[in-house]
Amino acid sequence: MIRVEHLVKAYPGQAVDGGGARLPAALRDVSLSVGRGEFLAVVGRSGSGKTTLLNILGGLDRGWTGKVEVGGQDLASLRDRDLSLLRNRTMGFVFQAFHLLPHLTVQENVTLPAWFGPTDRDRADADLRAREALQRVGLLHRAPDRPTHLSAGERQRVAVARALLNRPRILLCDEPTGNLDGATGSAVLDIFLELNRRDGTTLVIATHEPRVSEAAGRVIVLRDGRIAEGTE
Amino acid sequence: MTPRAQAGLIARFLGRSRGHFAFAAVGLVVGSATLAFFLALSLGIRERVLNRLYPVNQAELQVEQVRLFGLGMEVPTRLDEASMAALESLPGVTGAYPKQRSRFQAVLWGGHEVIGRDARVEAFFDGLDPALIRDELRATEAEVLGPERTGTACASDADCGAGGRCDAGACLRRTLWDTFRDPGGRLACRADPGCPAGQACLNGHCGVPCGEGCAAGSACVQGECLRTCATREPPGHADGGDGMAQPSLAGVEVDPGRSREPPGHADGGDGMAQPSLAGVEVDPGRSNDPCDPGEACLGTGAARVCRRLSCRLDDPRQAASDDPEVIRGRVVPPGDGAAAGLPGRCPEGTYCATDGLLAANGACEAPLPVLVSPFLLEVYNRVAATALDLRRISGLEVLLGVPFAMKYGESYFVEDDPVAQRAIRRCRIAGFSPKAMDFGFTIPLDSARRANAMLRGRDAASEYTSVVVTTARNEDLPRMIDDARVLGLVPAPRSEEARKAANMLLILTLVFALVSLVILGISAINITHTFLMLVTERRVEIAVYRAVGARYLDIRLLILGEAAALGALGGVAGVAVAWACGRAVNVLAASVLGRVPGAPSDLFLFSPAVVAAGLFCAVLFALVGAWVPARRAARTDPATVLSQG
Repeated sequence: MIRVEHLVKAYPGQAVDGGGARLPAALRDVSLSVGRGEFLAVVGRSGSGKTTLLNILGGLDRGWTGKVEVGGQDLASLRDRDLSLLRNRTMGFVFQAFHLLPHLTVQENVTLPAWFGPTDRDRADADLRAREALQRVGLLHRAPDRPTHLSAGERQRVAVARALLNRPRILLCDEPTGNLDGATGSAVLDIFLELNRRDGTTLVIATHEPRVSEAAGRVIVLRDGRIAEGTE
Repeated sequence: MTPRAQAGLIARFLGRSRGHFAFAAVGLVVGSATLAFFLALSLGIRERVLNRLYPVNQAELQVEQVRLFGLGMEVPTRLDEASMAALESLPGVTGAYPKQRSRFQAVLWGGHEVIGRDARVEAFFDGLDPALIRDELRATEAEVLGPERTGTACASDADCGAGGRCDAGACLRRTLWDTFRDPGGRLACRADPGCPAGQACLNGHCGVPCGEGCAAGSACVQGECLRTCATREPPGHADGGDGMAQPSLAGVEVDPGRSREPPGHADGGDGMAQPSLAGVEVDPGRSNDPCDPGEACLGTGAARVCRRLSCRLDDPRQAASDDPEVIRGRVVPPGDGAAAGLPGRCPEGTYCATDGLLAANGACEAPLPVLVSPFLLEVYNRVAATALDLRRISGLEVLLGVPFAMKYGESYFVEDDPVAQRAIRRCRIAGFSPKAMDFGFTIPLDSARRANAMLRGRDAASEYTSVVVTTARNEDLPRMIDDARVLGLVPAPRSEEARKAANMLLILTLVFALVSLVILGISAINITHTFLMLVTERRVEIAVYRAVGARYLDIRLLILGEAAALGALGGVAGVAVAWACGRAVNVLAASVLGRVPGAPSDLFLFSPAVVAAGLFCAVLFALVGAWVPARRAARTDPATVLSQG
């Protein structure tokens, strides 16, 4: 499903090996593969490169070297149009900060990916799919509310519902429970596990929380942009 | 992202940032309003004031007063047919339409139908080629009387009122614009110099001599070229199918051998010998369409020609009568043949135009169609009606069709011509045009030439007063004017003033359009600032859009679409403001300029092009203003923004 070979990502002011006075690259020669339906946890301390790796896998970050394939497509060779379509159809994102749009209702936030589909059919049954997704995360009753009226756990569940709207095969989650208390975080984790087990959704979750990594099928540890532990 | 989805999101964007957008749109509204206002004003003045005098591709030229010598050629001092030919050969010239002023004294009386009593004034008139003015007359008449097709259903002409026609089940109202053409007439003479150029004195009246042959559509009859008319054989032929005996007019001879018509035409194509004396048919009804009013289609078979009906009054003094039945006189058959079939009096709508005040004989003629300047009407209402306590004339439509009479050779200012040379002619108002004489009236050119020939001879009828020249393109006009100077022709004062005014108007329009564009440019900068601020505010939102599948282009189009919508709304508001200001200026102008004769009631012309220009410029400048912000928005790095929390 996902294949990464010798991935290197250096931001301005960074060098691949951190030579001289320059900082080491955010990702250095990372190689890994994630199979269909696998649940991979990427752990590491802050600044280890977890978020960068997820952004690259999701096609949000460019300017790297190496090879990244998602669903058999080489991300480096995709044009913006195809990459956007891949994000819209194949992937779902869940962020630590939720990133719900406050001027939209919960229902409208969840239907957002449908607005950017390439055809009007994408929006035709978007409301129905949104209600299904909200039902799945247990928030159907909050559909007409604004995100500002929701708790942090509810917001993150809405973000998960948004990620699920187009029934993606891959879910990329960046510290999804980072802003949640223990019980709420567990509830969100349960949703991920259900998605992974019942629907076969491939999960790649960046986290530093042990309970998440413990629930994952496989764990890799990033340290200073390199895979320090785990299976490549 | 589909256009529909895009439109939906744009609507949400606009709704969310109403305050910002309202502020940003102020400049667009002001700019597009300024642009639309001045464009509409410029167009209105050009169309409703200047173009009515002279369209942009026309100029009236007249002979330069000072004789010039240059380039080795002598400048002509006469504006005649040779000058016309030279003018028409100039590059870019599409037509030359001569004008000729009356060259004799005349007085007119009439108008009791509209002002309560007959006015009696000195008559000044000129002749104008009807081809120059036909479209304008038709448009003016439609403004005054409404569309020609009235929309009333009908089965016959009788259902359509006086002068109306039933056409394909719908009524057409009476039209007068199409009557502005020379109605023809017979000019008595003693010798060729008493006739207009190209005519000779034949059998006591002026006519086109056969000479080397007649033009197409005419035949040589008794040495004179006469228009051929309907060749259809009436039912029954001998008796017209109605049992009535047909007239047999002796003295009508046709000489097809001298006609330039193809032989097949002259003899009807049947090879039969042409009749010479007997068997002549008269058809003064609808079958003599090519004939002028007052003419009859006489002859037999293919040799039927239009001949003007001779007439006679019982007493020469009856020519001055106001009784339309009296002045129709009695028709006198040509030669000494029988008169059966000919009308007893001049046909309805015509009168017996006698050869002079002392003559009882004459020919049936239709009244001369007359054009009046709206300026004259204003002067009458403002000055004459007030000073002389006459009834005011409420509108142009009241005057259409009003008859009056003119006596050639008499004057309130100068000595009268000998009484034998004076004559009475009837006129009827056929339309209005700013091109008509301001203090006088205008008749068809050929009518004026005939009148000048009648009173002052051939020379007076051969020289034109001025000529209106049309060019294919507006750009050709200055060069044509320069070329015409070599021929000794210069723009007439009225044309020159119109041209100067048009140039001044163009400069003013350009200046104000520039001012409008500067305002719109400033508003574009304002829009740039507003959109940059909004894009910064929406960084996370835009990054989320990218994360859920928005393309670089989608983001860009969203911002530009928003700007375009803002521009369109600003443009609509701007044009509406301009229109409202235009109404206000019209009201103001009406109170200030109300006493200026000929001032238009609406100074503005909000044509579709003006509205489109206002909208287009507002949208264009909004897009220009949003270009950089849209680019910046599309380049938002979602990875950076979304990772920052």
